[in-house]
Amino acid sequence: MADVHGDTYVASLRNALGYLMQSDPRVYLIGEDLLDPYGGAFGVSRGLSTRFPARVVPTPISEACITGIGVGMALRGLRPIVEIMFGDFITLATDQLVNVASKVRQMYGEDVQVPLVVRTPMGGGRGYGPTHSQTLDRLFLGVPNLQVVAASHFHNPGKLLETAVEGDSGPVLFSENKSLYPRRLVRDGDGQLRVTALAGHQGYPTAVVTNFNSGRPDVGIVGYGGMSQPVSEAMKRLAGEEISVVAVFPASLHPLPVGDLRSALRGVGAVLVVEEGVQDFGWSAEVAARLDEALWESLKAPVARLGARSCVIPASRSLEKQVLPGAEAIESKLLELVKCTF
Amino acid sequence: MHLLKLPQTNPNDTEAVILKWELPDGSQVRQGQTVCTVETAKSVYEIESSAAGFLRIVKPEGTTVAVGETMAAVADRPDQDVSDAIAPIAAGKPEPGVRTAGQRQATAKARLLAARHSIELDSLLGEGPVTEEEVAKVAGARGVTERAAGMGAGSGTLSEMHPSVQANVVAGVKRLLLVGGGNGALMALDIVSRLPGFLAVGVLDDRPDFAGKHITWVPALGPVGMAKRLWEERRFDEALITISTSITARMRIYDELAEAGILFANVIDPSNVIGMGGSMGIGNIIMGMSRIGPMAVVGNNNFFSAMTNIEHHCRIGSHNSFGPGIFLSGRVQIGDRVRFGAGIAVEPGMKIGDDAVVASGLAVTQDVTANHVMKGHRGLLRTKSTDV
Repeated sequence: MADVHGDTYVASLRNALGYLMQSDPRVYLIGEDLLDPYGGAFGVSRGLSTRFPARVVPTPISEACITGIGVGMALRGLRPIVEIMFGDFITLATDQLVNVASKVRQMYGEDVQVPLVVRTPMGGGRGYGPTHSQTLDRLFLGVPNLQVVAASHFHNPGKLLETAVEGDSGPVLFSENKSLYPRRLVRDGDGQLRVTALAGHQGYPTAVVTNFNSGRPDVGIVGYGGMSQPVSEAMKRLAGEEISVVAVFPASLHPLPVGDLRSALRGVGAVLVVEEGVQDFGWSAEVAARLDEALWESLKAPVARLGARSCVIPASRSLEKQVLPGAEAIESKLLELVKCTF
Repeated sequence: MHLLKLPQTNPNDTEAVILKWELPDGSQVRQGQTVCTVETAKSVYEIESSAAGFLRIVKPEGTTVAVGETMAAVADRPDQDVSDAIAPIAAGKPEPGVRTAGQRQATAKARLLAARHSIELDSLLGEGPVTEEEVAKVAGARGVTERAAGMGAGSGTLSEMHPSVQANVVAGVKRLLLVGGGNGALMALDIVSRLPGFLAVGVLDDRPDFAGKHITWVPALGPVGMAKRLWEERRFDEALITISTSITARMRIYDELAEAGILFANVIDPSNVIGMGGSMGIGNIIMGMSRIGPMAVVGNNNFFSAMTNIEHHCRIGSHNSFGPGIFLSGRVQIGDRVRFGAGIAVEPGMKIGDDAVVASGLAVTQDVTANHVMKGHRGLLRTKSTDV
């Protein structure tokens, strides 16, 4: 597979889509408002309908319908990429994902595959209000046979998308983040942070990010997707306080690459798990439980979690900041944990 | 009367500028009512009154105040005389607990380390923000200074020890960790079995199949690298390096563990006689029937076999390894990392330099130059061709 390069998160995705459609005639893009010149609500598909007019399909506003069409196309040997305009709307596609796409193969046996990729942007911080700012990956975690993948700006999102579309892992929920779209990718590092990759799960590498050069980390942090931005801010500030942090960002949320977490966090005395979704009963709860099992001997404090407060996300920007976890809250929590290890 | 001090609005800003007093001086305020806005590098914050009463402004708009500094007072009555409380603050006298511009900043890590070692940040001299490295140097220097003084005990002052360690030292029993699982460990345990003040709790060794076995009654715990973790978990009170063969390994491991703050024991067979007026460092093991004469000085991490005689006024360095039956006359000087075979006699006043080797059975009647080997029946000096 080509290594798709784009400076920004959205460019990386756009280039990957172009490459996929160019090299594989089975690839289709289906969703709302995809046609040029608009090119999708966040511009991810800009230019594609001009280059591939027959395979960029605009649809009416029915997420259940769009996803269902995608399932059918996948069953018939195509490689459909369904775009759900806002992650909040994925609820409307739930039945197609949970009861059809992820179960068809095992219910009907035979040689059917469902190589469907459903892409959607999660995340808030833009003042878009309660039903346009959520991070709802958590609702689909743990559905058997439904792989959930999330791209952070420590990863190469285009490459992750290629793996999802061309791989054989069955239906994939590919979670993007609105606030990350314009951001420059961090990749190998940016002077203050160093990024390396661990094998991850089935071609979805885990990014390991450090704010120090040598020695053992004082504290660890695990997150995914859009949290890469506030985490990198917090890590840079903490570097100035001589607090060394190792951040582990898997791309595969489910199945979770526990081996990567264990090896990147070996010997660390305290860990914080962060997510933009609601903290209670979230991804972070599962990760914390697994980390307790894996790191019990070296932990000096219980694995901590930080997610969004359990309330409707306000439309007011300043109020939204108090609900969603940001760089300051992450920094404070990490400092608290470091104190525990002292 | 309550004083309204600038709170810590966010983890990064230590001061703020008073932007605007929302109410004039003397106004009645409720608890929780916004009285002013302040601006930090990051954002503008509203400051609420911590009490109900009457607002008496101390610092005017445009003033920069530090976190914890008084900005206003909230009087209980409109006519209350608050001048006594306010005057010194308005005059700019430094308030207790408020960091003034002259004090040095410190990184969060430096603060944590200083707190753990009971080091006052104000006591550190230097320029710029206090870093972990600076605090660690002070902490390390303290430990080493106090360890090197005094004879035999090899510990820092009691008050600086962790409470669990204190209890053991006061009770007269120190938990000992041996590093190096060969014959040296066996010989050390032989001595320890006759020393009521020590309890051997484990042995470390890098051999792959080491862990899970026992050396006499003491469990083999794992590789040498475990020592730091065991120390952090307070699983032992003092360590002793029992490697007798490789001097390089003795020194390397000693330096690593010492840097991690690990304390070392002196394990001295009860049959030994230690003379008066001298001094000894830490981490030494001295087998039976040995003698240290008066005014003799011995360094750290030495391995002395049985029947070592160190006569008066001898000065011996560190990381040396002697076979049995070494007879040093008075005023002999021996450097660091010297290896002696067995059965060697050294005439008075001889100087034996660092990294020298003296073969068994020789009489040392001339100085042994550093890094040289003395061997052969006539005791000729040769340069060292290989590592010992």
